[in-house]
Amino acid sequence: MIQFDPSLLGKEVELGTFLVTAEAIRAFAQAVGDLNPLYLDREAARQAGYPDVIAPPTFCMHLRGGRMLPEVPLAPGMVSLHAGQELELYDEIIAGHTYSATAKVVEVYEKTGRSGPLGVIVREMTIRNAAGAPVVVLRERQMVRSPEQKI
Amino acid sequence: MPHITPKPLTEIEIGDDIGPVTRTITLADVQRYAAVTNLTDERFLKTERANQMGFHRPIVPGPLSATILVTLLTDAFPGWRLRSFQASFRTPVGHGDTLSFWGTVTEKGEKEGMAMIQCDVVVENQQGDRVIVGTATLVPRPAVC
Repeated sequence: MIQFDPSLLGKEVELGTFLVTAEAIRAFAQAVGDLNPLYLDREAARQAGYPDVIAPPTFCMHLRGGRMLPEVPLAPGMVSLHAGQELELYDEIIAGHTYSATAKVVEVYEKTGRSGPLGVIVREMTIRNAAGAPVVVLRERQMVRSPEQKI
Repeated sequence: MPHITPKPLTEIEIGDDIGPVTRTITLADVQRYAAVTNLTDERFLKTERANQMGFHRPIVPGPLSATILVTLLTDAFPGWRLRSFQASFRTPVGHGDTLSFWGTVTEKGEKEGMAMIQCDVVVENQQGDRVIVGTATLVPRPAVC
C-alpha cells in the first residue's frame, strides 16, 4: 500500500525560505473569509503592537503549498485522503519577515479501518524565523486507501 | 484599532458555547482556497476526477474546513490567539454540504505562567455527522506595544 524506505523516517528536507508579504497574507485571509484587521490593515496591526500585518493561524498552508512533502510513493491505484491536522503556534508570522521551512516523515504504518485496510503517513513541517526559532509546527496525517469503495 | 485587551479569564466559563456558525461550502470557496495554497489536485475541483479517486463528488479540502473552525475560535475570543489546534477529518465533505461549526470551552486556567483556555471543536454536516472533531488551546495575545 505504501512504498517507503524506513531509513528516510525522520530525515528533514529543506523546503526553502519564504519572504512573507502583506499581499500574500491579504490574499489568504480574503480567500478563507477571515477579515480580522490584524491580517489586513497595517495600521491596525501597528496599533496592536506588531510591526506589520500578521498572518492567520493556518497561513502555513500557503507556505506548505499544494503537496505534502517529503513525497511517499503509494502502491499503484491507491489514493490518499487528508485524515488530520495539528498545529503548534509559538509565534506570529509577520509580513516583511523571512521564514524557512523543513519537513519530514515522522510515522508510516498500516492498519485495518472501518472500510478495510488503509495506510497512514504522518508528516511534520516546521517553519522557523530568521533566528532559527520554530514559529509554527504543522503535523498532517494522510490516509491511504483503495478507491474501489466510494466514500 | 487599539490594542485589544483579551477577554478576561474570569468572564470565560467551562461549558461556554462557541458558535455555531453555519456555512455552505461551494466550488467557488474551494477554488479560492486552492488558488492561495497552490492546490492543484482535481479531486477537489472536478467530479470526474473525484469519482476516479473513490469519492462520490468533489470534496472540500479538510484544511479549508479547519481554517473556518480556527476563524470561529479567534473571532469568539478577541485578544486571544491560537496556541495549538488538533483536528481529525472523519468523513469527506462534498461541495454544497452545509456545515455547522461550533465548540465548547472545556478547561481554563494557567499553563507555564500564562492564562489559557482549551476547547473542544466540532464540524457537523447537514446529516448531523461529525465530519471534524478536534481540540484547541488559546492564550492571550501578548501586549507587544
